[in-house]
Amino acid sequence: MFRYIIRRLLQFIPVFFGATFLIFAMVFAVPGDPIQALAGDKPVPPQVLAVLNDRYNLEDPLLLQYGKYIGVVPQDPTARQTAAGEPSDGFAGVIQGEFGFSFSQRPVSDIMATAIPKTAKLGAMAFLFEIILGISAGVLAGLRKGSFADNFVLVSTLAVVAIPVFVLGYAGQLIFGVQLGWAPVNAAKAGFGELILPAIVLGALSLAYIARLTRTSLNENLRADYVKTATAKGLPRTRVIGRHTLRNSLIPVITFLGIDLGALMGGAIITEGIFNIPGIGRAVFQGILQSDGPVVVGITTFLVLLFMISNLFVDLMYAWLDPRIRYE
Amino acid sequence: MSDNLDTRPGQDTDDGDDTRTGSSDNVLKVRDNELADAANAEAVGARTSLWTDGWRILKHNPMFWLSAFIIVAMAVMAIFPTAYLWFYEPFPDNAVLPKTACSLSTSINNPNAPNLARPTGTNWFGFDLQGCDMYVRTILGARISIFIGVIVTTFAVIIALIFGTLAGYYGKWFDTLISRLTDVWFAIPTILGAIVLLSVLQDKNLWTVAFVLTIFGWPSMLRLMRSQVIAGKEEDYVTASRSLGANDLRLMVKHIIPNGITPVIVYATIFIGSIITAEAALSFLGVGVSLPAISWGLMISQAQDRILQVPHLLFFPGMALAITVFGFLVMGDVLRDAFDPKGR
Repeated sequence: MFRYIIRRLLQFIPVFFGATFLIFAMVFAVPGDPIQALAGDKPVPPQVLAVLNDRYNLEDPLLLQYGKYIGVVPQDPTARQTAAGEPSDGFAGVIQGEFGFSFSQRPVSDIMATAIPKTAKLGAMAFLFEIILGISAGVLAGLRKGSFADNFVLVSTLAVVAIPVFVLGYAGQLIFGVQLGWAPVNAAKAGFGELILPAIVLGALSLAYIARLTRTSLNENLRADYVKTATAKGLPRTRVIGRHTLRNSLIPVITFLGIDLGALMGGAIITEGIFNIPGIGRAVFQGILQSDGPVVVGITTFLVLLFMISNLFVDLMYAWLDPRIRYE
Repeated sequence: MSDNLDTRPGQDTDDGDDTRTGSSDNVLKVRDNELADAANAEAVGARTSLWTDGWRILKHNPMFWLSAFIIVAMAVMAIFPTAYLWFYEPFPDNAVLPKTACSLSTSINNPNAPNLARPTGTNWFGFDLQGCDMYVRTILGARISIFIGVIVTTFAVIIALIFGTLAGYYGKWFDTLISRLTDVWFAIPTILGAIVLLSVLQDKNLWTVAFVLTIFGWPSMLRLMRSQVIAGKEEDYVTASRSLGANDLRLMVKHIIPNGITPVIVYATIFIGSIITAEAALSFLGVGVSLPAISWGLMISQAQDRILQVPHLLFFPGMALAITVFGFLVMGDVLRDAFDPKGR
């Protein structure tokens, strides 16, 4: 187990640099001067240009820019890079917790600090919703293959997967918000009651996947030898299913939850837009619309980091739950 | 069943020996014919046994026929939209307006629009903000969605077939390189990466969106192909063929790929559905295809401020999207049920 963890952690490092560099390159390797683009057709005073180029390291070659941004190359003493506003002549990058400044001179970490709690709340609610309902539906369907409940879960989950999240969002808003009046249409304050409908919309897709995954996995495991043994030695059915079958069947579901975080983040951009929630998804989308490179790179890097850490955690949990994995 | 390739020819000839009587000449002749027949049947059987097996299950499954119907209907809509339009007259009173034309007099913003631009007998799906007939636009919108779904999936499968097979077959440093590269790409969620990359690209058309979705979509397909090859390369028939002197290319093309491709085909069917959803989401966010292109996601995006007042702007393109994606998902599902022996 220890060796597995070490190996997994070592693999994490090149993937971290690779993925963050990819994002950085996508945003900053585009031809054209981003500062000039901000000013439109108006000429930018050379002094302003010099200060801004210095602050964002825009004159450096791409790899050096990235190195300074991520925090493996020290910053220039003249470039103010810490969120606290102090001049920094050392390492001040993502690794040190510094995400730089937006083009409107606001610390990106500030933007994230106000947006993250709202998205975290939305995401946690969606996560709970999909886990509880998804696993219940999956168990209900998986225990009796071919029953009405099974077919109902199969077809209804397919229908949910087929409907894009923005159609589901607007349809939910229209039916439960406008026609029935059960839920607020706007969730700008991100209160618990306001977030229920957005969380259901955001979690619906993964709920369907979890239900189907639980069903398939339960189906397979119910035929396994150890289940027959457990039944044969006279254990009650609830115990055979609860202690033996379900526990093993949930392993693939847990793996899915790690990958699912990525899907939730993609979905959050759309859901937060529809319900007007000032979370991280909307912040990154605003950054994209305003061509604010530092904001886009900062938030995307943070999200990718989060996604990678959750996947790492799931991998470790997977190895703990299923001992066969460790010996690959 | 016919899966047992090694024993069948032997059994056939043994049966022949036991039952046949008569002159030796005749016997030899008959045996030659029978052997040739057996060889033919074997060749056909070897190539199609899994497929005939699957087909036997598929043709009794109503969900298969439902999804096949949806996919064919949508494919026709994408390739020959006129098949759905030639009989349709959105503006019967005004012969000057061509079928795709829009008239601001029928816009939902025009209080004098007939029936407030809602669906009617002549205009089945109503009109949109620009006074364009929604039925015509919904039909024409199929092209971008389905083309992008098919193009991206084709490229993802090609990448998976080439690099996934090579990585799985040769292993060593090449596999390490490809696997680590896959890890890096896998760390970036598809939609998030596609939004960021599309936002910096200047010209956004069908091909740019397809390109970007391919860039972020390929890793899962490659991983699947690679694991199939790793599982398949140690099989007995591969070893047998190698010991008969088959080279690497022949082993891969003749044995390993055909035996491992089924899950990839199943996944590719589902993949088309998810790419169609992704395209719609990108167009909806305004970073996908841009006007004057017609796309379901774009139609909903343009109408988003008015959807709560005029639901038909959401309903028709949304339904078209959902039905198309549903068709591909169900197809993938029934194919998996038919071709995955574990599920039987």
